[in-house]
Amino acid sequence: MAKPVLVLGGGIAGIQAATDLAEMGIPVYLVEKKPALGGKMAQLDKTFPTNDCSTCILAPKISDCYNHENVTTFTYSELKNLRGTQGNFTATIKKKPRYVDVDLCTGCAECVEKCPVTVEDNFNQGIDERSAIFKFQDQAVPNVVTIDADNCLKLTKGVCGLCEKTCDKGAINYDQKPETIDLDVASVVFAAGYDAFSGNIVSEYGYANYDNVITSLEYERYLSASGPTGGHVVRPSDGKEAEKIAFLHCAGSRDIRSDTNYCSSVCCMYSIKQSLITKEHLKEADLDLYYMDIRAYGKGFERYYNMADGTDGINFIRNRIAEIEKDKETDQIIIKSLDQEDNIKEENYDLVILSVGLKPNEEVSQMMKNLKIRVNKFGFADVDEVNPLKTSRAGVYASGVITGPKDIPESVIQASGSAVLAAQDAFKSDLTQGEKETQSTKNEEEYRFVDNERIKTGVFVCDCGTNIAGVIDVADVTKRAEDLPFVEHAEEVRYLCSSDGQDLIGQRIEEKGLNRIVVASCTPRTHEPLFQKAIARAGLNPYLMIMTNIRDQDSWVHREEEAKATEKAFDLIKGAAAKARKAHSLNREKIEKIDNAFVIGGGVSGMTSALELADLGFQTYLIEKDSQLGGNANKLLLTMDGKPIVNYIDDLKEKVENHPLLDIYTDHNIEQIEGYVGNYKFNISSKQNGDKKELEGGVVIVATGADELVTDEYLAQESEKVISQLDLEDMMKNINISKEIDSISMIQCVGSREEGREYCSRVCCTQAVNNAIFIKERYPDIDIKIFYREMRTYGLYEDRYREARQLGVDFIRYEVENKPEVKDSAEGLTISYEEPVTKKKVTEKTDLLVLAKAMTPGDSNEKLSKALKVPLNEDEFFLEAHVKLRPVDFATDGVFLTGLAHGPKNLGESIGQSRAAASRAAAVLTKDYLLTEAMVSTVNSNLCSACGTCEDVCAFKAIEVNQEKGTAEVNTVLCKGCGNCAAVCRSHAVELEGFTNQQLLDEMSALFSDRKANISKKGGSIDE
Amino acid sequence: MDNNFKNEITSRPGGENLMMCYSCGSCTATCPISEIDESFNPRMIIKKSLLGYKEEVLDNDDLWKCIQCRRCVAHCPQNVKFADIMRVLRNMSIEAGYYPASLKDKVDKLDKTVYQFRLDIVADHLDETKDMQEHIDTMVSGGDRDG
Repeated sequence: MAKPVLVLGGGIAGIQAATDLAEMGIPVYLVEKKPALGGKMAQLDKTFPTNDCSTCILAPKISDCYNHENVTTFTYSELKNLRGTQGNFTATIKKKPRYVDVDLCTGCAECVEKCPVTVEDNFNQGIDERSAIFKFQDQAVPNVVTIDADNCLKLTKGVCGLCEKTCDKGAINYDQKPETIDLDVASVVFAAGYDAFSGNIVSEYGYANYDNVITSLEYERYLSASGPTGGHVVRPSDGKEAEKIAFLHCAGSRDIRSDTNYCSSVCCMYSIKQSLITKEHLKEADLDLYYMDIRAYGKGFERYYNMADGTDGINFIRNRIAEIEKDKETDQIIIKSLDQEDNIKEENYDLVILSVGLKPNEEVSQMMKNLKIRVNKFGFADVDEVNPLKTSRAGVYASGVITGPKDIPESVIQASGSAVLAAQDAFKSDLTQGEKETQSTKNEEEYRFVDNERIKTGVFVCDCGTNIAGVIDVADVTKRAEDLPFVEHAEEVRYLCSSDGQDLIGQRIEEKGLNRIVVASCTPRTHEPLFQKAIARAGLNPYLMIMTNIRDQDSWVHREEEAKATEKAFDLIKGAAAKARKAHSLNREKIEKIDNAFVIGGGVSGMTSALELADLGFQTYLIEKDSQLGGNANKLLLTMDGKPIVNYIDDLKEKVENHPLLDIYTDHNIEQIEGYVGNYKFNISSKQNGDKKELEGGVVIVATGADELVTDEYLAQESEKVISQLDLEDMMKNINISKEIDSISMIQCVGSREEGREYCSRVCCTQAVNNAIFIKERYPDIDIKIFYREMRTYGLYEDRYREARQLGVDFIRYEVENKPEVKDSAEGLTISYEEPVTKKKVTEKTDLLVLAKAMTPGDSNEKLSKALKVPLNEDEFFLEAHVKLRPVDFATDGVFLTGLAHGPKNLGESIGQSRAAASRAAAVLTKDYLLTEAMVSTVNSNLCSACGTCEDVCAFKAIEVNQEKGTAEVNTVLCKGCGNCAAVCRSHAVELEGFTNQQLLDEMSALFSDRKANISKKGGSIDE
Repeated sequence: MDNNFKNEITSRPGGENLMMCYSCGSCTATCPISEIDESFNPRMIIKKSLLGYKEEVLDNDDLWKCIQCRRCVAHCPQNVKFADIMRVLRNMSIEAGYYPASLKDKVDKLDKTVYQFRLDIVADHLDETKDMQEHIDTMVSGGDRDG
């Protein structure tokens, strides 16, 4: 068994890292200082840019992590000391006393009802109150209560003790003491997160004095269905519905006065999100967003921004707000801003939301210093741009906001990346040097044998907070479900996917001997595996569960028609219950696999992934179409923090070329890819001499990079004085700036953020700024002007923007409808533009024009996507499984994604993502075997006429006609259970397990059962 | 346009932070003079300085409108210190010969007088010896302020 790893922090980053490590078979200690897991993400209502409910996508991940056999979780615990060195640390953990025995507590929360004390509820940002004995949040994992020792009457004054008297499990124990334990670990993943700024950070915003000025995190709690107002957007001062709301971007960020002169990266996006969600709650609301630059730089962000911009009632006003006043009579908040003519105007608002930023928690910053982990000037963990996960202390890796403000996908990527580095340390310190026990499967024989039982169906209907219950009368539907045929038990549950919800299902299975389960809740897409695992834990074959979606397909789309939505929910449950009757136990097959890895693309991303996998001990094949490694990075001079890359790429190439487990195939084309997870076969050929080679492997990492736009805008093809930022870095490498250059103009967003390319190329603003600084430092007299639409120097790169301004670089904004005009003549280049602050129209000479050309998806993306059976997004970059929580996975198992092939990003981000891809690939390779899907197609050869229609319609090449045997055959490893073959088979020879013809007919019979009479009477109409 | 204009400003005491400006507009939005005079625009003065419109900035009556209340300094998120930059520009404009050297003293004296005036009016009003509005009307019409 590998030596354990410590993960510090139970937010999304910590949870991701812990899960990844656990999946590699490594024991994990997950330490979280709050009473429950989830971090800040648990406090969010929805997440951008998908508007997914935060808890909905987080809860399954928390559940998977907490329930993983390799993860030991310590909540309400802190790291006190970390002694030792890489591979050999001793972590001292202090477990704070909850005064509750967690093994006895069921989380029923009756003690909470009885507690007489009330204090501010921090989870709800002080908006409402909680008692001294409390559950951190409704869906807390672990689902137990905690006593706040500072406010408990028994612990401070020796009186009361009501909770102990109320608890019939005897779980209260006032004598608990703090416990200190030492854990021996190989490495540490530091994912300790952040604090949001206090609303007081800019005192002029009146947060301390005006009730109706709140922070964005408070507003998340207002918006949240499980928050203190049940999701109603009201003014704190009087509880009236807010109609006119202002969002103040950059509240405390990009501000030198509070030592937070950086960009907090996420506020533009979350503010846009909050405005869109507000419009869902209040259709007539008038929302003004006051901003400086909209930093919508990530994948899908620009479209999201455009969607908000195009929404009636959401107004973007480019104006940073300096101060706020209150109208004493109406309690409305007055904001002064500048209009288009720079005149001061006043607007009144019911509610003002400060889009506050992210900063490191002070205690955590201090802890890092004590543990000799270097921090930067803002208190974040100091990491190298080209080594974004390694802290100054070897063996301690950092991920998430602890290294700098970033969003959830970035945090998840860094977490997975840290996991692979931590794993390398853990495997090197392997305690047994023996068999890796990576998985234990439940033996098929361990499931209860139900075939000879009378059918007893349990129906569980989820409220999903107000997502479902806000539209559908769940109580009514549940009651009526009790009377359905074969239904033994029907129950309504508030959040079925939470730990206690899942346990409840298990309990009912045992209590009532249920042998079919219907779950009416959200989407099987995210939650089917979760509920399958829940019933498997209760001893029932997971495929005896039928899910029906009464959220995405009902409550979410029929918000205006509650009565009809309720009827529909009942119909769906009826159908599911009917389908469940003929469900039978299914099993997954064990498949052997090949433990080699393929990495397609030999740029920095490909090399990094390949190296990490090779360092884990896996033979890796690196395939590159060019004659040299390095890809786009070969052209770069500077990293995003303005430092020269110098030797990094050469060192990387050397490591890659000399690694015994890395076989490099430069100058090679991929002729064919066959196979599936665990069993890939690549046919490659040399471009030099046509030699062919066949290779086998278990996983594929796509790292094929991206290209620079070819455009003829701004005379790009006509004048040699018009170059790209990459060309400029090439010039800079040789300090080859001609003496004849007195002025340089840079135009940003060339080809990006326009029709046909509705995305931001992310790196160009920071790149332009760094290049400008480099030139100004050496040639201070060269005049440099940067023409921008928004300055997107996000996160800590904001400091580079400041540096450029201080060196005298001029920044001139332009609108996309009014681009600068470039002309060439015998006298040279001229650029004409309209400067918005001085309102002047200018034409001036420029000696060099540098264009920030868009990053474009690789030409070979489409071909590769078909070969690997993975999708591309609308911009033709590869599309990951889930934009927020699965940024390096594909929906297809066994294939992973990193680097520019995923989307525009900088070198450091690519390196981080490549480590994450290696981590996820390692989770497959470290397993002893793979399991097929259970719901696969089967062929009854007696009925099959070998017509081959099924083969024609299968997108996965999973069913093929065997001419000798005269029948079609299914490859269960490839089969995804889509059902196309079953649908087209004219002989009814093909059935899909879990969706058999009989099951579907039963379901439809049930769905239409009370409308049959009407159909025959009205001749085809199915209206009631 | 004079690309060196901004360097001249930053080399003088008080002008060091000119280039920190990122045109957020906080100065103009909080300036009491901007509120009553549409054409007085601190943000624009800074941008013109940065872009080198030396003559336009220095040969400009706007330079003398600032009352040095320093609200711009208090609200600037990048510590540009516009009020100090105005003082630098005033000096530069006199040195360049656009305004006589005596003007600066006159304006300083004017400011002191206006402040004293204000103190007197407020004191009288609070003493109930004179109504504030009456006082102002008298002043504006050129009458004897003590009369």
